[in-house]
Amino acid sequence: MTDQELILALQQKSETAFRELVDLYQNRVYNTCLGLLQNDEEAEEAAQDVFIEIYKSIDKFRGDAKLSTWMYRIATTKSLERIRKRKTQKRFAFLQSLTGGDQDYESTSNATFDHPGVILENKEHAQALFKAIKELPESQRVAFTLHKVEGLPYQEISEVLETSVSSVESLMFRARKNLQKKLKAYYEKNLMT
Amino acid sequence: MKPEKDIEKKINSTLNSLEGLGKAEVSPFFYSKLEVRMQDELTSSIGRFAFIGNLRMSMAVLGVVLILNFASLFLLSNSDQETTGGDSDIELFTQEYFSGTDDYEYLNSY
Repeated sequence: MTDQELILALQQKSETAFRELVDLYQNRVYNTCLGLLQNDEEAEEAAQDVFIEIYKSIDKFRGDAKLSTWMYRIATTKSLERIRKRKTQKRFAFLQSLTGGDQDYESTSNATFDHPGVILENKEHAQALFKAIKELPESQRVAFTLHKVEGLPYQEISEVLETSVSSVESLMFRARKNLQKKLKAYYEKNLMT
Repeated sequence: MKPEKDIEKKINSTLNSLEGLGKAEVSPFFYSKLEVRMQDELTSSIGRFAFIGNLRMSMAVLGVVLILNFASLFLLSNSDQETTGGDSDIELFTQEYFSGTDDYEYLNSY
């Protein structure tokens, strides 16, 4: 089934088409969410959010972008929504920890992430990198993750973010610079102690 | 100087640590879990009171309620008028049956 046929079938609420869509895109959507959220349970829930959103709003899909681009856009939006929600909860937990209410705050905010696709010899470095990625501004974080984790070319990232290729290049350059700074501070602190 | 070089090396290795990253896969029950969530979310959106969240539906319901209110108000005011008319009939009826004895003088002729 081509993308066009799939979209038409989805607009007619065909269950077979929906199943095919999930089979085709579930891992791409999940990987995008996992790269951004750095938590497998949350990533799976976000991936489900993406497919529910597609089912609900397929009638609004005008076909200006590729189906995959549209899905990456929804996956990015849903993941960022969860990140913002998490930040709000963290702030609340921090306030609670000040008053002695939430003892788990420290342990949850410093959790490390092991991506299942990282080869064993890179595990330690990848953990440090994911920790640094988490501290990047949203747009840099999305561009860097889509390129490095999902392997998207700059052209497709620009379509997902609805911006120009040169803007993506600039985002990637700034992301790399920021990561270098953060990693330098991290290794200086850890190698000296 | 050596630690500086070490740090530089570590930074570069870290930045390149995602090269050749393998793909993570969803759990085998992903579709089943998704189906359950969709059933929950989509059926709850057509649940008994879910339409309240839908502005158009709420406005339509509000319109129907207002029409019913005005209609009942109109019908009530009409029936009030009819009742007022009815009162005069009752008065006539009362006059007929419970009027003063003078009206029935003819009965004394027996």
